[in-house]
This record gives sequence, structure tokens and C-alpha cells, in this order.
Amino acid sequence: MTVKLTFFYNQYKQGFSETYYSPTTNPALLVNGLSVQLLTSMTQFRSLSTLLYAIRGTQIETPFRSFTRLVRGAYQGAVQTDPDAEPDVVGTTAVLQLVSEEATKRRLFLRGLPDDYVKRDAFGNDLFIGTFRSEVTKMVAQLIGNGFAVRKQLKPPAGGLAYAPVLLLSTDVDNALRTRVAYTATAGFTPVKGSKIAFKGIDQRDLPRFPRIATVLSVDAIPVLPFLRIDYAMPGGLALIPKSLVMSNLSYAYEAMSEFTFERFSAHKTGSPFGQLAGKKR
Amino acid sequence: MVDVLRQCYSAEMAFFHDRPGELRTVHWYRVPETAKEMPWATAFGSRIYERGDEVQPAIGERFSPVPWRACNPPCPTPAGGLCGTEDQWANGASIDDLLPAVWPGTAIPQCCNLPLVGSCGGVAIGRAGFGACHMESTCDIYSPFGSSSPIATNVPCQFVEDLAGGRGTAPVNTVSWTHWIDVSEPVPILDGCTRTPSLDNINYFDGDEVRIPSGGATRYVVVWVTLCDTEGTVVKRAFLLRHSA
Repeated sequence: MTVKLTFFYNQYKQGFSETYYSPTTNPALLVNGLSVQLLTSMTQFRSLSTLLYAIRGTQIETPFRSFTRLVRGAYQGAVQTDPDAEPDVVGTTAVLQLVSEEATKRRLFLRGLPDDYVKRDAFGNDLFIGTFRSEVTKMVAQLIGNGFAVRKQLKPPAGGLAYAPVLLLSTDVDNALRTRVAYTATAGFTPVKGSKIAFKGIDQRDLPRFPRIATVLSVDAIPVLPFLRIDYAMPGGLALIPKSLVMSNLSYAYEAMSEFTFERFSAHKTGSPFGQLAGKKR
Repeated sequence: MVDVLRQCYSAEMAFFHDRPGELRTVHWYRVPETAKEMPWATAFGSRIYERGDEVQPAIGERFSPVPWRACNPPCPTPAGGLCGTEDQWANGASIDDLLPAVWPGTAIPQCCNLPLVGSCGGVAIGRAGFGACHMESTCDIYSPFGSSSPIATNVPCQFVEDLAGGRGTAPVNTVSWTHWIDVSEPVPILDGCTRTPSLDNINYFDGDEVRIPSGGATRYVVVWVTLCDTEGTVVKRAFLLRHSA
């Protein structure tokens, strides 16, 4: 069992949240047991206007028990800056890569940073001003010390998973907002009603907004040509033989966090967090 | 205070671990900053954060589409009070649990603070201002109403009092009921309502007669019958109007 931890931060009347995972079973024990050092380290490098408001722990498996603790701003950012250099409220300003012991990377968007902390030099290199790097290092050390984990989506053949080729996508005759997905029966692919499946090889030109992850609404395990249904409206109600679409059961693994690197800073203080990097594969 | 949300919405929740198909609508709304946190972990928190890729749980909030709403309370709400046990909050209630004592004239349990005028909500099984009645029973079916002998006896049914929900909407073009029962799909039970061609009014006529419990003298007339999917099981739901006690 794993518990998802959500930290709710407020800035003025807006807010943002950060999510982490911890290999434990009791969300109340976990949330109540978070140390002052951890909570302090999570706010120290942020702007004075950033308050940690609440922490929520949720089991990631049924029955999804959750526990919420209000700290109501008891932990606050410590960086005093000129009001003009305040953060863009909830704008993302730095991207951290948390790396697991198995080298799985998870991108973490650090928000609530004063603009002074995320400047770039004339060549576009990130400038690390003040205690930003050392304070973030302290935070990650606390995360590691508390056994926080990085979530990784398992891809076949890991975990006994297998890709099942999708043979045909067609509009469900009973509901035009649903799609019938006919596939080749494959050992290691066991869809059941209510389970989640992950698709790979989606061609967005043929299948605009096709979900990367979908819930199985029903399964007809016909031996020759089994099919399942998902929530997706085929464009124009058409049928399609996809070129290379495959799907697998959705499964996650949780790996202990071990280190971090800075990925990049925002280019500008705008709502678009990555400036000229926008549109590039991230 | 049960959870922390950025926006508010309404959603359905399953409160009973032994009857996951029984859903109640819950409104998330803002509470004063002074409200105390729930002291236990609960399965009845918001699932708005878990909607992405998790499996529908047996109890708690459904992942069904939720209508967003303003964060105002749906009615004057009594501040404070902690009801239920740690086990109920964590694992759901049982349909057989004894109902807690309620404030007179409401369905609001006395473990909550004294309700204000116009307060709504209440125990998961009830509604403000009405008592709660929900039980497993058996029934006899007579067709048509008033027949001397039943066409089916000792039929298992879920029997629910629904006086508030069944008051109808207008003098015409509606039906009203006091109770409903869920029976298995093959059970022969019919209503008598019809429609005149080219008109959109419902013409009410007595449907079958139902006696609950089986062998008893309490008679009901069937006013409407429909199929209902209760968590994957299709049942026949018959809305009843009590004829005589």
C-alpha cells in the first residue's frame, strides 16, 4: 500500500499543490508524523507570501482512505523580496527532477519562488541566487530521509504485463460517445470492467484527444475477436484500423527517491512556464 | 472539516459497505476557518484528486461526473459536531446499523450541533424533516389491483419509504408515491399508466396491488415501474402508493 501526499500551498487568495508518494498504509499516522524539519524545509526556499495550508494523505488503492491536516500557514516561505520580485502567484518557476534509486525520473514543478531565485544570465543559463540551491537540497534530503518514493508506470514486459494489439476502433452501436476497441487476445493483458488500461502508439491526427489512459467500461471476451469499451467518441462516428496502437493493463511501481537535478527555470515571468521551450517534448 | 478543496461540487457517495448500490448526493461546501479537522482517516473524502487512473471504490465518492457548484452551504448548517465512529468513517456504515438519535422534526443526528431553521442533510439514510425507513422484506403481488388471489407470493424486496421524493410535481402529468420496492427483474409487476396519442400527459390508472410484508394486510398500488441498474445489477423498481395500512 502506498499513500499519496498532497501539500496545499496558498499565495494570497490562490494556491497550488505538490504531490509525493510514501510507502505506508496509514494516512493519518503518516500526515501527523511529518516532522517539523520536513515541513519547514518545504517552505524555506519559497517567497514569504507562500503558506503551507494543509497536508492530505490518501491511500492510492481502494478504499482510498484519506486524512487531512490543516497547518493553516504555520509553515511559511522565508525569502523576503521586493514586492515587484514576488512570484507570479501560482506560476511554475523551476523544474526539479527527482530521481529514484532505479533511475526513474519524476518532474516536480516548484512554485511560489521569488523571481530573484529563477533568473537567467545573458546566455540563458540558470542563475542560482542566494540559498536557493542549498535550501532545495535540504528539502530533497528530507524527502529522501522520510522514505518518499517516485511513481513509475510499468511498461510491458515489466510486472508480467503485455501489449495487446488493437485491431479495430469503432463507435459503440448503443452509445455514440463510447468506442469499441477490438483487440488480439494476449496472455498478460487481462482487462476487466472498471480496470484501467494504457494505450501506446496513439496517432493524434486520426484520433484527436484519444486518452492515454482509459477506464474499461465493459469487456466482451469473444474468443476470436474480444473487444472492450472505453469513453471516447470516434470522430464522425467512424471506424478505424489503427496502424500501431497497442494497450496494456495499467500498473505502477514506487521506487525510493535518491537524488535530484535542476532541469530548468522559467524563461519569463508569464503564465507560460517555459517560454521558448513551450511545444518541445518535455 | 472533512477535506480541502479548491472548488466545490456535488457528487454521489456510497455510505454502506453492505449495499454499495445505495447512493446519496453529497454537496461539498466551505466551512468556517475555525472548523475542526476530521480526527480519523476516512473513505468519504473527496475523490476529485483521484479521478485519473484509479478503480471505482465500493464505498465513498463515485467517480461519476460531478456538477461544479458554488461553495456556499446548500442550506443553513449547524457548525460543529462529530458523528459516526472511526470504523464507520474508515470502512463505511452498515445498512443494519442503528440510526442515531436525531433532533426532533429533522433527520439531523444529535451528535451534530442543534440545527438552524431550514437546515438540511442528516443521517445518510434519511432526510431532514422525515424519518428514515429502509428494510429488506417480502411481498405478495396481486394483478390487477383488488384481485382475490396473488400471482406471486413471498417475493424478496428492498422496501424504502420515500414520502418526500414521491410527492409529485403537478396535479396532472405526474405520479406520486409513498414508497418504492426493488425486486428482481423477472418478477411480474405492472403499473397501469398510459399515454393518449399526441398528448404528453400521463394518464394514471391503478397498477398491480402489492402487500408488504408477504401475508400481511398492508396494501399498496403500483403507480410506476422501471428498470434500475444498481451497481451492475439490474432490478425492477416499483413505485408504490399506500392504499391502506
